[in-house]
This record gives sequence, C-alpha cells and structure tokens, in this order.
Amino acid sequence: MRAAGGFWTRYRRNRPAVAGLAIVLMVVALGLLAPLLYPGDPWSIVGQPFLWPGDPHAPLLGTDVLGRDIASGVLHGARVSLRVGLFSALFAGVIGTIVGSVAGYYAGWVDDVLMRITEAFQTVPSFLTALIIVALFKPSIPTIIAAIAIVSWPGVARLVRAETLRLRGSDFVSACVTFGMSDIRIIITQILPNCLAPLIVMVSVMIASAILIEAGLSFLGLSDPSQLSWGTMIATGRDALRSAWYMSAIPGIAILVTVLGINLVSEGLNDAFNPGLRQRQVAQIPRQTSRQA
Amino acid sequence: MSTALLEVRDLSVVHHKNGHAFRAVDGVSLTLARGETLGLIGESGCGKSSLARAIMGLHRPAAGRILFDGADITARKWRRRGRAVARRLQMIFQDPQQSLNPRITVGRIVEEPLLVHGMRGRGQRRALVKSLLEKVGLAPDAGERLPHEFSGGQRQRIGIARALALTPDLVICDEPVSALDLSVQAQVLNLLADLQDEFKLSYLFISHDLSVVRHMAGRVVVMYLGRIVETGPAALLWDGGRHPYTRALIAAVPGGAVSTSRERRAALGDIPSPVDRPRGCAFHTRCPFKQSICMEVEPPLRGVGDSHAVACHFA
Amino acid sequence: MNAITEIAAAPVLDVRGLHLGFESNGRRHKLVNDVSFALGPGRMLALVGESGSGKTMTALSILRLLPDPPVRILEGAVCFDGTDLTRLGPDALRGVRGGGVAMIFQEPQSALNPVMSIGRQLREAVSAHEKLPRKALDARVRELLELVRMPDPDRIVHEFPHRLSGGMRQRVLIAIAMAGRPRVLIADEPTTALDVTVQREILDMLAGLQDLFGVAILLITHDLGLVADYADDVAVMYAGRIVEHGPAADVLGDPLHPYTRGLLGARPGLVPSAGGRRPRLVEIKGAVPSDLDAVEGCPFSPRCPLAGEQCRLRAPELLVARDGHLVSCFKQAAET
Repeated sequence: MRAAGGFWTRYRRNRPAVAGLAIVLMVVALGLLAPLLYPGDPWSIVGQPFLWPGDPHAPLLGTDVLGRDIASGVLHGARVSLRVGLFSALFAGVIGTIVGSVAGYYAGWVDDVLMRITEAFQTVPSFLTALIIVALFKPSIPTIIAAIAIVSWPGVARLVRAETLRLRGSDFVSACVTFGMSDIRIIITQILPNCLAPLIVMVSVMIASAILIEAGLSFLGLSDPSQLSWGTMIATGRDALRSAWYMSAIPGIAILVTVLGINLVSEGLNDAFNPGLRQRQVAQIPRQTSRQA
Repeated sequence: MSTALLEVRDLSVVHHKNGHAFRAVDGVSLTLARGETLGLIGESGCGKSSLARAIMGLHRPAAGRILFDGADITARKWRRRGRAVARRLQMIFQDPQQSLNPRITVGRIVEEPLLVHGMRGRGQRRALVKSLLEKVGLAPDAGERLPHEFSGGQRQRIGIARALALTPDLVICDEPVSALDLSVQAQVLNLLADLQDEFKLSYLFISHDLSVVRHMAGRVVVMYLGRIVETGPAALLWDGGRHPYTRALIAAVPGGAVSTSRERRAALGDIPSPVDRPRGCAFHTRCPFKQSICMEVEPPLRGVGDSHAVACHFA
Repeated sequence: MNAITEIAAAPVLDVRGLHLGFESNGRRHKLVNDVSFALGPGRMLALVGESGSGKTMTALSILRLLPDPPVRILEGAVCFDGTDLTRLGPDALRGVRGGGVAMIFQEPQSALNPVMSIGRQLREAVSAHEKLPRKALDARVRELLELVRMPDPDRIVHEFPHRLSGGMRQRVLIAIAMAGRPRVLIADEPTTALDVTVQREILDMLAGLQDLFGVAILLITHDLGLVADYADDVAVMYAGRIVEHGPAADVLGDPLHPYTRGLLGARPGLVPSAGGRRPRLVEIKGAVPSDLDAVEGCPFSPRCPLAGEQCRLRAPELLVARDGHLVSCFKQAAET
C-alpha cells in the first residue's frame, strides 16, 4: 500500500523501534558467531565453579555451579532460542494462513468446520499444551518447535480469516472473479498480499512468545537435554540463587533483552505499516467531500 | 443480428439481512441488443447493483435465466459458464478506492486478465497493457505505479483499461462516474463514448443519476424496489415517462427545466427498505395518484407504445 | 472589499480575506486563499466547487471547526452580526455555535448518537440554548419535528437513529440545528448522500425555513442544478479561491469565468441530443493542482483555454464585471 522507501523512512523515525532492531541484530550476530567466539562444547568445564564475573580468574561472565563458561552458554543458548523462535513462528504462520484464508474465502460450512477446529486448539492454555506435547514425545528441539507451532497457529488463523473476509467483498476481488481467476490464485495474489502487514507484526510477536515458552520448558527440564538453553541455565543456577544470583540473572537478562528487542521491532513494524492518525489527517485535508478529482 | 446479446428472463436475486430474506431483484426481464447502450436507473434499494452482479456471475440468482448471445449462463462463476463467456462480458465498478488491488502495480492489474486467459509472451502482454493505458488517457509509465498514486478519475480509467483487456462484447458499467467530480465525470463519459465507437462495445449502463443516463443511454429501464416500473427509449427520461416514479425522478433532477408541468412534490416521503416491500404496487406509499387497487394488486408491465412498457394500473 | 450590492440590509455573515492553511514538514501549504463573501439575512448563498476547491474548509472555518492542528486560519475575519468569530474565546464561541450559526453535514448517520433516542438528542440540543421545564421542552421538540415535516413525530421521538432512513436522519439533524434558533445555517453537502427524490424534499424544506424564519443559508455543494433551483447567490471556488461570484441566475445563465463555463458545459443530459448522436461534453483538460502554492499566477491558467502571458504571472483579483457579478479573470472581457 505504500512504497517500500516510505516504509523504512517511517520505521527509522521511531527511535525505540530502531533500538529494538539493533538489539535483535546483535543477538542474532552473537548467536551466529558463537561457534567462532566460543568453539567447543558449552557444556565443558573451563575453570573453577562459582566464579563471579569480574573475578581475575574467571571468564568474561563467570562460571556456573559446575565451572562451565556462562558467556559461552549465553551465546550458544541464543542459537537455540532464535532457532526455536523463528521456526515455530514460521510454521505457525504457514498453518494459520492456510486455515484462515480458506475459512475466510469459502465461508459457509468450510468456515464453520475450520473455525471449530481453531477454537478447539485455542481454548487450551498454550503453555500447558506445549508442555504436554513435549512430555509425551521425546524432548528435542524439533519437538519443541512443533509443540509451539501447534499452540500458536490459531491466532494467525483468526487474523488471516478476518482480513480475508474483509477483502473478499472488495471490488478488486470481484473483478478477478469476473474474468475467471481461480480461487487459489485469487487467495495468493490478491488477498494474501493485503494481509501481509498485520501478519508480519503478529509473526514477530509470536517469535518473542516462542522464545519465552521455550525458556519455560527448558527451565522445567523438558527441553532437549543435549542443548544448552537459557532456561536450562536459569534452572541450574536456581539452587545457588542466594549466593551466586548472577548464574540465573545473566541468562535471564539475555531473555529479557531479546524479547524486549523483538517486541520493540514488532511495534515499530506496526507503526510503520500504519502511518499514525496525525499523518492520515494531513493527507486527507485537500479532499473532504465524498467526490474525487 | 436476431439474437439479443444479453437476455435476462424473470430474474430474482435473494439477499439476507439480519436473518430476513428479501428479494433484491424480483422477476426482472430485459434484453440488450448488440451495440446498444441500455441504461438502468433507480435509487437505493432498487436492486440494480444486485442485478449487475448476478449477470456477472458474482451472485447466484434464486430464479430466472440469463442468456448471453443465446447461451445460458445462469450458473454462477466462470467455471461452469466457460472462460469464453468471461472474456466477452466484463464489468466496471463504482468505487475507485476499492476496485483496484492496492498492493500491485497498475500494469499488473491490467495484465491479470490476460494472464488468467493464458496469453503467452510477456512482451506481448506488456505491449497490450501499455496500449490500453494510453487508450484510456494515462501516461505511458503509469503501469509501473501503484493505485494510490492516482486520482479517483484516473483509477476509474485504470478500471476501464482492465475491463477492455480481453476485448469484451458487453461491458456492465456499475455507477462508473458517481464518485467523481463533475469535470472528471465529463472526461470519463467522453472516454466511454469514444471506446464504445472504437471497439464496438455494448453497455449496460447503471446509475442513479438521471442526467448521466439521459446522456449515455439509447434505451432505459427504470427500477424501483427490485422491479421494473418502466422501460422504453431514452426519450422517456425527458418528458415521455408515464410511471409516476419516473415522473418523480424527472421532477427531482435539480436544475432540470425540462418538464413544463413540474410536480415538485411528486414523490412523498422516503424510500421504504427493500426488506419491507409494500404490498401491491411497491410505489404506492409515495405515489400521489394512489388508489385502493394499488395497495392490493401488483401492476404488471404492459406495453403502451413503441417498445415502451409501464407497470402501473393507471398509466 | 465586497461589492455585493444585492443585500438591502447589513450582511448577517461577512467573511473577509480568509486564508487557511496547514504546515507539513516545515513547509506551509495554503488551502484557501483570500476568500471573501457576505451572506444577507434570509438569503441563500451557494458555495460551489469540486474536490480540492476549499469550499468545505471555508465552511468549517466559520465556526472554527477546522481539524486544528494542523489546519489553521492564517488570516482574515469572519464577522457574524458584527462580531469577529475568529477572535472569540471558547465560551463565547460555544454560544454562537448552534445559537447564532448552526451547521449540518453530509453524512447523517455519523452525526447522530446511535445509543440515544431521537427525542433525547433533540432535548439536549434545545437545552444547550434555553433552559425549559420538561413539558415545554417536549413541546419544543415536537415543534421542531413538525418544522422539518417529520412524519409521525410522536413515534419518532422514541426511535433510535439506526431505525430511520437517511432522509429522516437528515431532517432530525436540521431540527437539531434549528433548535438554537440560528440566524445562519451552514449546510455542507446536506443531500449528497441521499436519493435524489428525497433530496428535493429536504431542500424544499430548507427553502421553507428560509421563508418562515428568515434564516440565511450558506449551501456548500458541487451540484450546479441545486444552485439553479434554490440559491439566490453563488460563489464558484477553484483551488482555494473564489473565481466568480454573483446572483445565481446571472452566473449560471451567463458565466464569465472559463472554469464556470467549463463546469456548466460538463453537465450531461441537459438537452435531448438531436439525431440520436451523443453530444460531446466539455472537458477541462488536466486536473486540480494538488499543491496550491506551486502554481504561479492564476491557479486555473494551466488548464484554461484562454490563458495568456499575464495569467501565468499574476493571480487576477475578484473584480466587478457587471452589476453584482464579480469575476477573477483577465480574459473574461474578451469573450462576449
């Protein structure tokens, strides 16, 4: 709806959004660089346990209860979190979009059936469901991704369905029907491009919640035992909370900062996609009547 | 040509509002000959847009038949009608804001019908799109821009270009100039007239604006609350209208100095909702000449002269 | 200064040298440029123009209803009965709004509160200007509904807006506007959203109010037919300026400005075409300028068939061409 150039200009003007983007890029960079900066196993013991950050014998962020390098854990943990976050949001997005667009376009009994299914998935509490799924199947990164995707897609489906219903009545869709365009083609080329903005915003929010769900699962010990995740680190440091709180605090701060960054980016995207009320008013001023030039 | 290009027989379209079903179009019949411009005039609730959409296959009629060049196309959508019909029957929409996909370029919008109908050769398609855009009076580089960069009048032109892409025989114009300023309206009406001459098009021209229909149409159909109340040559919109509603429409035209006897209070009160259609003659609630029979019996459409028919007990 | 000499009494509304504009990205954009007109008591002046002409902005500025920020009155005076409305404080202005000058808008459905009955909205409107005991209040409400020729007023009083048709809602709005016994009624495209048969009734009713109460009406419209049928005087606006101004019959019968001529020629369906050939409508080439400040000289010159050198250099002033008939054009004298 607006040229790409305008979009980035608007985004750039939003300081918190730019800061959020910087944070996210930094986390991504650190995650990607983890094997370079900290080659080897983050589980391996590098020194004395219980060393505080700043201690002359300690690595940058200290060591945990068993003497593992916390900094290495944070960086490798970033990889886990981002992977889970990204893929689960992606799968949820795809499933939700397919269900939502089909339900919204065909309406009638198709819509009823699909929406009942969607509601069924939506009414169970998401974290609990993810937990049960992971507990039932072997806990691994793919299982977690699947579990989170399964609980997240209904939100996308609702959104895409609402947008599809709205757009379906537009004349430009009717025009395509009149010259014989197939339904699938209409959905893909006409309707979905117009859903893109709210969809992107929703997907970005889902990435953040996926990271939080994953952290919760790994805190409870239900994550992939072979992967060191931020949640696991918090869990490990839990017993030493009173004396060596840094062990839990540091991965906790990592989660906080990442999720915050992603949320700022989501808000920035939202605002950039919908120029604010003030701007809309200005744009509308020369045309106050219902007629057009 | 003996067969009419478009023939509608006893068509009815049912809509649902708040759980009530009502007939937006009720037993409408009309014919449109090749090369003709048939004007369809009526105010809100008359069913003209529903009729247009049913003819285009966007809404399934509840009863009746639609024949295009002799072939029955009553079934909804192109799949059952055949793509060949979709090529020859096209539509121009009313709202310039809604009729174009805001996310794709104008060139792509006009190209889409060609793609759907399997026109090969990207270069060939692009060339055709360019010539169409020029034909409707837009700059050659218009194809690369997005719809929001154009004014309302220009967007209507784009819609016209899209409708012409498949060289149709019949174009249904659904209120094509209602949302435009007067001077822009003149440009678009002139354009439609020129294109009709050049491409030998037939038009079903729908509008609530009497002046516009007077200008464009050769024959007219006047609708009120889902039914035809009068049909005949366009001259009846000047002074030959026999139905009280037609006369009310003529009297209501602002600045119209046509009738010598201007009955200013020709239609009393507001238009009833199509959901609550009055019994008998639908116009009786507003008709200055109503009698008791009008409240009970629906008047049939009777011929009163040379291809002129009226649905009134007393016309 | 205005040279409208048709007005016997002092004008009830006198707009002088109005300039409106807004700021965006540090630059100022003009929307209305040096607009002046006067409205005599009991007369109807039509302000005619297309999109972007500035007519709605001008109307909104009278009661200071502009979306401010960002649009503001840059210069000029709006005198109602001698008082400059642009200088009034908020309390005094509130008193004028509805009491001295009332306004009705184009979309009846958005102007009425959907959760309040019609009767209640009317009572509120009356109470804003006079304090009456409940019985007198109800009587006044009924009186107003009868004034606007509302069918079945006793039932309507209890109804809610969504149950009324567009025409009836507009009548309610006119009733609300008349509640404060205004001397001036500004009607911004009051019938554009209504069916044409209903439009007749509403305008006949407004004309009736003019006769009955001597209320002066400023009618904002794009429809030249309405001007011909109802207005006493007309001012044609283009790109934020008044380009022609005079008695309606005079301006429409013998227009002097090329834009007015173009508009009148663009009207379809005026006379039946001879021999079945469709007449060609007059086209004004080009489009309304989107940036009013960018055009040098006369704002219509890029599109004007008569444009000459001086037209591109200076903007012409609104000057008297004939008795009571003003036009802003260097060339209108050439075409007779």
